[in-house]
Amino acid sequence: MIAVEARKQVLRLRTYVGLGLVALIPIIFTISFKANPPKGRDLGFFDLTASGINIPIAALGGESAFLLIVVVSLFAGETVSGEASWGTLSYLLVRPVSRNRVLGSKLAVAAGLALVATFVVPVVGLVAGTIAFGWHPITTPSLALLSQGSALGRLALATVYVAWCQAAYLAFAFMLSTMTDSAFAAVAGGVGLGVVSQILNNISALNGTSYIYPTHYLNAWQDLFLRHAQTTEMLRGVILQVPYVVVLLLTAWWWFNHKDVLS
Amino acid sequence: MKTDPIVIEDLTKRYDSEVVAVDHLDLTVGSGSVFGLLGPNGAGKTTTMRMLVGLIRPTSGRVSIFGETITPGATVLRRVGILVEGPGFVPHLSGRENLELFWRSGGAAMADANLDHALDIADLGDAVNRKYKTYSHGMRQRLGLAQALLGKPDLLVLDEPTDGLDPQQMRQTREVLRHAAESGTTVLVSSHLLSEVEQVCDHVAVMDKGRLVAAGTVSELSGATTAVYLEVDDASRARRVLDSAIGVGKVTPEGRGLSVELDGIERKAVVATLVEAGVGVETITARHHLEDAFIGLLEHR
Repeated sequence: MIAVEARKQVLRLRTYVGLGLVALIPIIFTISFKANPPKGRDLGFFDLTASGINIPIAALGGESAFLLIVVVSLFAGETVSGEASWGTLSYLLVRPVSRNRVLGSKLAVAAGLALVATFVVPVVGLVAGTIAFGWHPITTPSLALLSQGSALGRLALATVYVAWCQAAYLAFAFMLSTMTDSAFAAVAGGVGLGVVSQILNNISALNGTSYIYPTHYLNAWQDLFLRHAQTTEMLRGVILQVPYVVVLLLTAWWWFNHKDVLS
Repeated sequence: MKTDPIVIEDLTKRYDSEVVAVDHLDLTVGSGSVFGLLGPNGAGKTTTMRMLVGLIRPTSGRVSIFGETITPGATVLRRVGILVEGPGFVPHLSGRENLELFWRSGGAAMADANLDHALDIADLGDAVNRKYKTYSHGMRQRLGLAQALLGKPDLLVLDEPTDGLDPQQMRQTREVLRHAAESGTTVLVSSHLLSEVEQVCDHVAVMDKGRLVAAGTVSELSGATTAVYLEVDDASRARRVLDSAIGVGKVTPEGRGLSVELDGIERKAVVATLVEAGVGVETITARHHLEDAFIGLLEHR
C-alpha cells in the first residue's frame, strides 16, 4: 500500500518543485553571502561566513518560518483531495482494503516527504556552505566554540525537532484533505494555520496564551547552540504538538471512514 | 438465494434529510445475467451503484454481493470489477502503470491481474506507455473498462460504460460485455440509452426518482405495450379512420408515418380497416421496443 502511494506521489512535478524550492534557498543564501560578505559582527545571530556549517543553521531558521510550512502543507493537503480531483479516489476505495489502511499509507508518505523536505535544508546548506566557506569549527552568538562534530550533532537534532514542530499544520492540512475535494483549500488551510499561529504569537497583548500556538516553540532548537545547551523549551515544543496531532488526525480518520465518496 | 451476485434489500439513500436519491429499492441480480439498470439522468442509478461497492453508506437497507454484506473495503470486492461515473486515473502515470497501481492497491499480486488480457481490451497500442493525461476520451473510457476487467472478476458493475464513445467503440464494448457474460461473469450495467440496454442485456430494471418502476426480462418489459408503425398514402385520412375505429388507442404522427397504439385490435384488422376506407398501406411494423415500454412506464407515473 505504501509503495503504491509513494509511486503516485514521489515522481510528480509538485514534489520536484517543492523539494527544489527548499533546496534553492540555502544555495541562494550561500551565494549572496559569498558575493557580499557582511562587514564586522553586526549580524545579530552568527558570523555566517566564518564556517560552512553556519549556512545550514541559518537556512533552517529562515525556511522553517514560511517555506517549509508551504511545502509540508502541499505534501499533506493534496493526498486525499488530489485523488478526488483525479477521480481516482473511488477506485482506490473500491479495492478490498480498509479505509484505515488507505489513509495510513497516505499519511506515511506525506509525513515521509515532509521529513525529506526538512532534511534537504541542512544537507544542501552544509554542502553549499562548506564549498563556499570551508569546514571550520563554529562560534555561536553566546561565544561558545563548537567543534565540527559537535555542531553537526546539534544540527541533526535541531532538524529532527523542526520536522516534528511541523506536525500540527501537516495534520491540519491532512485532515482538510479528507474533507474537501479542493486540494488548494487543504493546502491553504495548512499554510494558514502556520502563518496565523506566528502572527498571533507575535502580538504581545496575547502573550499570556501564546504558548498554545503550534509555532510558539518553533525556534527553540536555537537553544542547542547556547554555550550551555538548553532543551527545556524544546521539550515543551515537542509536547505542544501532541494534542494538535491527536485531535486533528482522529478527526481525519473519523471523517474519512464516514465519508460518502462521490468523486 | 443468498448466493445471488447482487441482493439489494429495502435500500434508501437520503441526502440532507430532504433529497431522496434512492427510495426503498429491492433488486436481485441473478447469476450469469447481463442486467441493465435503466433510467433517466438523476434516477438514482449511480447512487445505487456507489452503495453497491461501499463508496456511499446507505441511510437504511442493505446490499450484499455473493452473500456478503457490503461495507467500505469489504473483502468480497476482490471479486468485483467496477467502473463508476467515468474512469479515474493518475494523470502523470502511463495507462499500464495506472492499471498496475490500481491492482496492487488492493493488495493483490500482479500475476493474478491478467494484465495482458485487460490491455487487449483497452486496445491502446503504444499509447499504453504514454502518460494518461495525453489520452482521448475514448481511450480513457476503454482504459476504465480494462481496469474493471482486471483479474477476471465474477461480477462487473459498470456505470454508463459507453458514455461518450463513438458507435464503433460502443459495439466493441458490447462485445466485451457479452464475452465476459459468456465466460460466466455476471454484469450489471447502467445506461440512459435504451438501445444499448436492449442490445446487450437479458434482464432489465427501470428506475425513476430513486424507485424501481419495473423489472424483468427484456421481452417481458417490451411486451407491456404494443403498437405499430404505419406508412400510408394519405396520413390525415388514415388518422380520421383510426380515431373512430374500435380498439385503437392513441394515434400520433411520427416522421413520415403514424405511430398507433393497439388497445385490443389486431394488426391485420388495422390494415383491413384502412384498406376498406380507401387508404393505401405501404408499411406496417410491429413496435415492441423497450424504448416505448420505457417511455410508457415513465409517462404513466
